[in-house]
Amino acid sequence: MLLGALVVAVFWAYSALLYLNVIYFPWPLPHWYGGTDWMLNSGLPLGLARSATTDVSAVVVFASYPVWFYLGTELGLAGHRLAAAQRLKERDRIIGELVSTTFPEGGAIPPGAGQVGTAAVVGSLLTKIPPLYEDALTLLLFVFDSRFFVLAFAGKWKRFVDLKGGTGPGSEKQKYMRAWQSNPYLSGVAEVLRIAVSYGYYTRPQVYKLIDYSGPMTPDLPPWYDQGPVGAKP
Amino acid sequence: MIIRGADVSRSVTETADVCVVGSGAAGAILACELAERGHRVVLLEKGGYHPKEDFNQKEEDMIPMLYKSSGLQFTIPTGIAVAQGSCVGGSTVVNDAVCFRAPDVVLGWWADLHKVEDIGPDALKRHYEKVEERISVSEVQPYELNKNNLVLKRGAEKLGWASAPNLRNCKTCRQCGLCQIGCSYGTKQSMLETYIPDALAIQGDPVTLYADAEADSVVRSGSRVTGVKATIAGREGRKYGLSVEAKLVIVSAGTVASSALLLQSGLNVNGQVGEGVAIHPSPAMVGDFQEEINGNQGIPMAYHCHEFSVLTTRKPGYMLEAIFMAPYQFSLPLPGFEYEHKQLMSRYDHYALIGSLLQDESVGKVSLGGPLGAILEYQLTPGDSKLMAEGMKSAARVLFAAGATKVITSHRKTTVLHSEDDLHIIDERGVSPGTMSIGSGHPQGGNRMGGAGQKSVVDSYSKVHGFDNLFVCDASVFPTSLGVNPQLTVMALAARLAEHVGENWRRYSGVP
Repeated sequence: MLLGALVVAVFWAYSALLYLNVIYFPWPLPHWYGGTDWMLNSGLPLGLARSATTDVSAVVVFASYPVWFYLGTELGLAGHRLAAAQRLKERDRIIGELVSTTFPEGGAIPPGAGQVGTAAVVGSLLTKIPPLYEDALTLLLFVFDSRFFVLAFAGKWKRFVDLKGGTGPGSEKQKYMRAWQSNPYLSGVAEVLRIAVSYGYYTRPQVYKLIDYSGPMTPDLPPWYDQGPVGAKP
Repeated sequence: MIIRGADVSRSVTETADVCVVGSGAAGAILACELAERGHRVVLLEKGGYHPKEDFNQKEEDMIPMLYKSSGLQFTIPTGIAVAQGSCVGGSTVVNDAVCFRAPDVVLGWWADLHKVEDIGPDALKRHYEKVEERISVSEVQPYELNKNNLVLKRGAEKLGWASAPNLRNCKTCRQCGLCQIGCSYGTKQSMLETYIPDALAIQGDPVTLYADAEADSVVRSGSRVTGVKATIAGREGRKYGLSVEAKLVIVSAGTVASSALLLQSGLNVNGQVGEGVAIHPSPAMVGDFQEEINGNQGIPMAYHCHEFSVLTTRKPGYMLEAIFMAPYQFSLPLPGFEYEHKQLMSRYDHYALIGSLLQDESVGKVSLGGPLGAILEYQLTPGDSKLMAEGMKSAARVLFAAGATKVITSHRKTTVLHSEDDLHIIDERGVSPGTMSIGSGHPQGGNRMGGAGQKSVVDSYSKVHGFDNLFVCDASVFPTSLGVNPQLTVMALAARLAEHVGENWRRYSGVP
């Protein structure tokens, strides 16, 4: 608010001084035009010279400055919000494809990532890490998804999300992911993605049951808790 | 008095005798013991305050709540996951309660090679004993060993290797197996259950603990520091300033954060801050057994084999430690993805896991070079890689000796050993962070302790060189890699520093 008021004040002062022809344009840079040459009383295009009418008009125009600044700022912020929303939507799409490729339906643990809500859990994890880390991980996901990397490692001019999915040797997505994991320069980065994705799958109660993990038991004591020969139980 | 971020709705200024940054193994003890000596202490903790009632035993909730960066802290460029606690109580809240005193030979290196004074076993003995009593350190009893720990015991005994039950800081452990995501029964005697409540119960309320308060800088005035500037994550997500004016500042934020705070405060006066970091890199070896092991049922870390550790060999080595985790953390060292990873994880209840804790060379570095703030650069040296390969082979031998039908290494390319004859495959696959998933829970160094003329940041009593009243006390002051789980030594150093500062208060505080 203070910054906005300061900007408006500067514009008011500068415009008024130009209108009154106290300073030239673009003061303090080299002198190109007189002060009035860019103002209402420049004589162009209606031949207006300074008068009581132009004075009143100028005051009205100057008074409207805050409105234009406000509208311009709102327009800019709306665009920024729209871009941010689009970016999040795309990020969620990449996460969705990544988790369903990593944990497809079937196999020794039948539920796929889509059935246990893995993508949503990974998305929520990103909101719990420091903002700079979230930005870095988001950037990493977009790099992983980019056509340039897919071309370099899978030979296709496509985004990762547009590669052919499915399972088995015909899956372009799996081929691309394996290429990242086996590359000595990218394997560390792939490891970061793998850890984030695993968080969204192996923390799910549906998965716990299928691997005979007893899961949370608090506030009850573990069923296997043994007070031992000397009576450790209080 | 505890003040959480949610309690704060305006900027705050505090005045104290001592400002301690970090409430973990060192910070909590320092705050408590200095307050007991009559000093007013402000204790700052970046993480939140979560009593045991908040611990719901769900990895999904606890890891973001209790771990630094939600567990997503990695070395650059090697991508080794480095776990550190970020909550009131620090890493003591999420560790496995394993307690070792520093090996005598390591303390000897610190004294002889790094010229640290009064650091021998005898000098530290009374500090260890004091801390051990308060946090209830005791040996795991035979009936408390679950099958995962018994695999290590059986295998080591068959091979004739030195091994023993762990000492742990726990009282009447309920054996839930979830130490790493907070002890919901309150039996683990972390700082959250011991020194923090002790400090807050001292008559006259001399300790003010700010949770959700991140230290931004230590304020300097010539050769003295005058306090700490911090930011509180306050009510409704707003940030508020916290300014602490103090006669003495102790930074105990842990390796990485302590060095980062000194660096961003412009206090790297001799260019050594951030240098010499070790992390105890620990690859996991998973043994598959015909019978159910149910390693998650019972104490995760209750037994170790020290045949090849510095405790026995008196030179840098590796310690084999039984360990187990809940499914997400357990899944990380297993290789592959898609059906292959699912197939491996489906045998979760038949697995035994041995970690090989490597006493690595201190070649890592904390710096502020990246857009993420502090970064930890780390590589394995050729000597580390060789020793790590030996550690992995020894772990595999123990597992086979105990009856494993196969052993899965933590190489990213699925590597399964079917007998000791396959051990050569470990060398063929290569041992490096680029080819393996390696974890770490013990970052140390960065603000190394040392005598005059040594490459060090603090002196023998943790005072930062060139300053009259600035101290660092946590694992970052270790001059070398410790070779055993470090929490007890961090605590002993904190007790030692509290005594030293208390006895020399006038000298350090500048108060006549």
